[in-house]
Amino acid sequence: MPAIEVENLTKRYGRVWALKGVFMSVEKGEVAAVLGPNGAGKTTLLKAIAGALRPTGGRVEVVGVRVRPGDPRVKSLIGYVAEGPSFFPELSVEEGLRIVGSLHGIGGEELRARIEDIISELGLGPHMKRKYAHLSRGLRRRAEIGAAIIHDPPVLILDEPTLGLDVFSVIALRNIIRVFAKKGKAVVIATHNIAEAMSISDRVFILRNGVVIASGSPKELRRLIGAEEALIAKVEGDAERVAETIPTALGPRVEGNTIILTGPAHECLTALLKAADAVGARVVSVTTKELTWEEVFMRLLEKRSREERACQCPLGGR
Amino acid sequence: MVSTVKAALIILYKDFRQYYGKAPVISWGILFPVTIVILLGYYGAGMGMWRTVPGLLAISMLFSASSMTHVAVGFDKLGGGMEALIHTPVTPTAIVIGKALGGIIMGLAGAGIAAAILSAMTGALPVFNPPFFVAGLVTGSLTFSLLGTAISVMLSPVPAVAALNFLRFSMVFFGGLLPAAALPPQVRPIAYALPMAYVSDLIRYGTYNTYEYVDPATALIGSLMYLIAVAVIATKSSFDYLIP
Repeated sequence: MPAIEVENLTKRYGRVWALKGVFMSVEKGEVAAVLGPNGAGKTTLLKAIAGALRPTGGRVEVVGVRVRPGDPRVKSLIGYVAEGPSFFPELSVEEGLRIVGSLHGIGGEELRARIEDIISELGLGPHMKRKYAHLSRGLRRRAEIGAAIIHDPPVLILDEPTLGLDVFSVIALRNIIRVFAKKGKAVVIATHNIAEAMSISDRVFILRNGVVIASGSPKELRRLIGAEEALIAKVEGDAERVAETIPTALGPRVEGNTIILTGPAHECLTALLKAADAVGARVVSVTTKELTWEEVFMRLLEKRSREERACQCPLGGR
Repeated sequence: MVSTVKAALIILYKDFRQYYGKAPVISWGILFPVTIVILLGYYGAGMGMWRTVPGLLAISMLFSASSMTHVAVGFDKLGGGMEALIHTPVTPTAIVIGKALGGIIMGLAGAGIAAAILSAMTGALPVFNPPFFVAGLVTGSLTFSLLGTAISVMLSPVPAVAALNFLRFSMVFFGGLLPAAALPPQVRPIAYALPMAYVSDLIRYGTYNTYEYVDPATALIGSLMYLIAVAVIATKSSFDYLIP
């Protein structure tokens, strides 16, 4: 049984569809990243999984339990760290954790032990008596994670967890997430940070305009665009014209007199030489480099746009 | 999972730990009612204590209750407390009750302080009809607390203060302190459209065995109707906010 199962999830705010039929599955012990530009629907998706909003349609299950909006049973299966602050500013870390723990029905010695464990696990020891409002951003994030895991949930959801954090806090946070996943729990992260998503996740869901346009392990996503490397060619002559002659499926990009292509190496090379020949330009040198995750992400978005255009032509005539 | 009542009590405890000393609670919830009670307890004696005192008790309750709920809801929305509560296994009902309880306690405390000050100034307050007096305190503290909750949930903090003050100051005059006969006929319906007239007349009948705007039975029905209406609005708006 997957830790999270999302089927054809939709959400409409007025006339705007924030989610247009999302399918998603996350296994226990897996770290999944939901990646996408602003307004893609990442937060809406996470909130729907957590039962913190009413979906327009579709179905969500968390460890086999059907998610119904506001259902306390579901909330006790999930730890949720929101994008913005989600703690009690005027209370100390310890007191805030005690309040959240009490609301989860944990009390007495068990709650004291849980708070001690969390405080030591998250490195909050020296700060436990300090008010949340007086903590640095990184420490606040840790306090929020503490509140999210105080009831030891099987699923942890983090919305933009590293936003505004320094590099030390980011490393600490990644370790916390890895430890949590190693315990057999599922972790879902929504992020803009592509490199972070790819480095920490077992599975990535790329969301755009409320639809998952690609999903898989980071390796599988590289394979989806048919290339792991970019071909970089220096050209003598009109590089712009050469690029225009190359099929768009290879994503030709021009930087000065350099043309960058992403696609299977032999196809790129053949197309490049053919195009250069056609416009009377000369290829001076060719090198390759591994695609950055940003390039992979952009290529996936472009690929999807091409597919959408191809689908619309026969039907809509657009 | 904890029961709704226990969850509400935990939220109440949290709100008191966080917010009882906040400036808006002190200034609007305590200092303003105390000032107006001292001022009008002294200068308003000429209008007749039976007119002034019940209105002052109700006004104190209004400002104390609604200030506490405004702060407890508004500051929680701004600071992240509400976001934290949303993801705990408590029902929206428990959150509404927890928030409203703080206002009810502050409202009753406000009325208690006002009563103590007025007793010190004018001698012990009479209580001719204790059930009506209690009904006035209960319906008033509940209605005013839920009013603060509803407005603070529906609006962001600054517009919420403006809306709340517009309503509160209207109620100081309409139904609170001005005698019905002193209101021009054109604006008199405003007094009957606001809950203050009903709450203050319940307290008036409970304390001085008389009434100003409506008879005791109408005051009781009117207060209960307002309470139900505000409770429905506060609950509905809270549900919409907590689970959009």
